Amino acid sequence: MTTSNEAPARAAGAGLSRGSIGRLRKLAGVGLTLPALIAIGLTTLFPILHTLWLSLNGPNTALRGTPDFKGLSNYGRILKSIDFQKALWQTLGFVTTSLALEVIIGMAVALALHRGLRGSRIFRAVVAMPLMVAPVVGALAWRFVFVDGYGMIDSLMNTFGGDGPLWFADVWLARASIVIANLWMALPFDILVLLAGLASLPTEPIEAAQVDGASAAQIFWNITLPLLRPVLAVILVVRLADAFRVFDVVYILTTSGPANSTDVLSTYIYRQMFTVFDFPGGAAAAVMLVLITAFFSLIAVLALRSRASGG
Amino acid sequence: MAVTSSNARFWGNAGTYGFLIIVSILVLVPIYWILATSFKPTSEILVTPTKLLTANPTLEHYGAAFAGDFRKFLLNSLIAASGATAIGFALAVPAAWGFAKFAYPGSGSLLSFIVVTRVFPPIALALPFFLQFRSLGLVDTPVGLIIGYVPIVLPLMIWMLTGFFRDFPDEIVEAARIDGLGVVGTLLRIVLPLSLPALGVAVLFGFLVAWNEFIIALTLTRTPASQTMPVGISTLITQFQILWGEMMAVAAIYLLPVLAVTIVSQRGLVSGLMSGSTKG
Repeated sequence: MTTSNEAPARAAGAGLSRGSIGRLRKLAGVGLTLPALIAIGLTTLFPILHTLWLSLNGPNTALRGTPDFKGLSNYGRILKSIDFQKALWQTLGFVTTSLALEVIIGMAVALALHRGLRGSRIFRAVVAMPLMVAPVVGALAWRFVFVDGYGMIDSLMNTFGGDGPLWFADVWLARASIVIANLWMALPFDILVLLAGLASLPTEPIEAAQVDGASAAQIFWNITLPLLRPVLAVILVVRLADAFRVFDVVYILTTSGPANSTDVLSTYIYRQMFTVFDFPGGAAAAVMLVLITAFFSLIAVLALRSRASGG
Repeated sequence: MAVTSSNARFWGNAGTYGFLIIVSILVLVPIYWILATSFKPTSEILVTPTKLLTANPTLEHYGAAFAGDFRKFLLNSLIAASGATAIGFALAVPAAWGFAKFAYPGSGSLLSFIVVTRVFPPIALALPFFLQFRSLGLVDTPVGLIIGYVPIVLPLMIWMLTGFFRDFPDEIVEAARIDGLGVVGTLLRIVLPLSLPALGVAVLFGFLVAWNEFIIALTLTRTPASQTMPVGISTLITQFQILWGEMMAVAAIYLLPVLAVTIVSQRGLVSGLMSGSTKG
């Protein structure tokens, strides 16, 4: 984290006392970073603490600003709610399914592109296209692909005399549609980061293994994969936080339906806050979402650290 | 022996191509469907089985989209994303330079905290913003939205630029100091002109993140006076009758610039995504 240790040496060379130049550099650092820190304090730290405060009080605190301390009772109420439990489990299911598929498919595509066959650059450009597509627009497009009747899948199947499934009426198909639409938007990041990782791998160990007659599978499992661990951990940490806060895709594609079977924590919290107007309950659920995301991110970071130093 | 190995290579290559072609088709399907539908006459959109390509392409949906609130949504998106990016840039450049080159006690922890704010889901910020903005009269205003986007744009830009600035050669900074340039002068006259690609990537990222943002805009806007494109699209969906043609035209207009930018600046985007993460 710390940067130049050569500053004091330079200061001495310039004929100034070590202490004063060091102090000036620190002051410059504080001055440069302070405006941004104040902005983040006001727009991130303060709102988070405000949410925490609202979650510990009754509804009057949000409406009129008067304290009405209730301790952890809002948390108990939300934790007991069936809707919250459902959203929690469905979020965990979405995160694990999505991350597993992203890593497996992302790795397969990245390895295929990394072979560098003729035309790879075109495939790479095509595969990367959804990278920065707005989730709302991506979800809208998939809704129109899945929708019954005039949707693309149903139309295609009708053309061949069949009938497409009712994606948004079946619990598991609706969940699958969320995962697929999300996969479409997330994979470009996974693939591009994995490709960058593959390109930066040292070539010697792989060439040596090839000379020794190792198979492609052996090389992948024993050399490429362990060397890619830091890159995989980066993907895991970034995508984990994204997946836990998934909102747009669910809101646009299924609106949590059918019968809340695609509800996730973010959509639950939004509904609790702005439809039910249960501000304390919504705030308590939001704090729990932060804690859950932080907990799993921490695990991912710790896994990255031990593997990076051990391997 | 040589025959089998070249045979195996042929089938391996064929398999790779087959796989990449299938993946590419799956990636292109929704994009194709948006574009194809946006040019279809309304009479053809809801007819089953729908044709994959219309024989009578029309621009009626684009006309209808521009005649509606769509222009306001687009303008609001531009204002909110540009405003948040400008504020983010003005604050992130000095902050990243400070974190990268002027460490002070606690600066590492502060930078870590900024990176960690990523785990705060926007929904956890939405309620306090809404309550504060309601008493300040900022709900449903472009200014409110710009402020609401600072927490998603600023940490990202600081994170990316700190990664870039760490690699900025100390010799050049030292030379500027000997020439009598102060900290601010060095940053403005030496560092910034030499970091244009990195700054461009950071600006692009900040802009796109705000351009695509949904949940904060959904919470803080109420009417077309300040609603952004994603919110506008979502209100079009939840109306009793879904105007698919018009919506697909809107989606196409929103999508195409982003796709163009992605294809042109792919390398920059990847290096931007990686720079903060691998070193932070």
